[in-house]
Amino acid sequence: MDPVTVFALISVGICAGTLGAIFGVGGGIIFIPVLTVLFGLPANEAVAVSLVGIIAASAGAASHYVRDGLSNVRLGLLLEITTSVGAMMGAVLATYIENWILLLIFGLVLVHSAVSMITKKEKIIDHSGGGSGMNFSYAGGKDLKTERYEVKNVKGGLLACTAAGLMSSMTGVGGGTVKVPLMNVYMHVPIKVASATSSYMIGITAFSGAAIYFVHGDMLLDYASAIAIGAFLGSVIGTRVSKILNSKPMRKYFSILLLGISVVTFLKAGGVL
Amino acid sequence: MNMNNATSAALRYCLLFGLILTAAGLMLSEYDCGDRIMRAGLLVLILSPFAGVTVTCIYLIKERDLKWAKVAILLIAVILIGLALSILNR
Repeated sequence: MDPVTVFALISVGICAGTLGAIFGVGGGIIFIPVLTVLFGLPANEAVAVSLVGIIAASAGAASHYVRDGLSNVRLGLLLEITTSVGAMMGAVLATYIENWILLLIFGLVLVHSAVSMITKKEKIIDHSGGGSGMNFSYAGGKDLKTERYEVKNVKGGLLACTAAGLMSSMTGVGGGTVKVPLMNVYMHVPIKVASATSSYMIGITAFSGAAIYFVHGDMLLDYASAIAIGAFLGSVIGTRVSKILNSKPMRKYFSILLLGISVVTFLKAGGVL
Repeated sequence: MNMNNATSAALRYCLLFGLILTAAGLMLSEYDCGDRIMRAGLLVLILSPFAGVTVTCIYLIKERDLKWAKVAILLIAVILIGLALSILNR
């Protein structure tokens, strides 16, 4: 592989890794169109390379967020169970449903999530040890003070994560775009914790897919290596930027990102991309 | 070391070791050994999220946080079953 291609792939990885680390999304929405359209890779090879990039960005960001207590590891493990089950169901169901219908539904879910995040105020519930037993704290509030929050609607959240896993495995669009608004708006998890927890989760979701491609030898080693290096560097930048971002603008920026991704999803549904 | 620090360390060291190998493999891609080094690096890198979950599970058991240890064990089982089914069905 020539040095220019390596540099270009590292740059793509940096962009996707930075966005992924800030907002808790995987970056597949950037990796796959760029790898197929600009680098001319077939879709399955682009997906395999993209999964490696997602793991590098996720593990890089999560190692910071978990150490700092921003990622809620326990909540991530719980939600990941139903996400993984949903992803398995999606792999089976994908052959029965037209992809454009799924992409259309997914795009509409993203628009709804973006509008909810813009119109609804962030609601954090603090029962300080009482309530549902799903009480946690994190040091990332104003002036890095420790803030408590109670996770609400856990059963509904688990069910919605099954749907998120199902949709993402059927459409190839990452589940982070659904899980962050779900945790923030529906389960009342602070936006910074929601995106950091999502960062931790998406690596686990991507692991199975990447492992399968790797075992079957369908991985372009040099492309995956260059993307992984860039995605890791991007995750380092993203975690630094995330530290200085306040919750309020972060919700706004996330909504804009969701609307942008929904446009790409609609274009894919219409066969333009 | 608490659970968060241990999980973070597992993610970080696994990822960094994988990245060092892939970078070395990329630089040596003109030689025969380059592909093998890249392959080993990518394998370590891909395994890093699973290593994180495994370490979390071990710490939850060690801290006798059995409710969440069961959740972690169930997740590991779901991941492994999903992986086995996908490999066998392909």
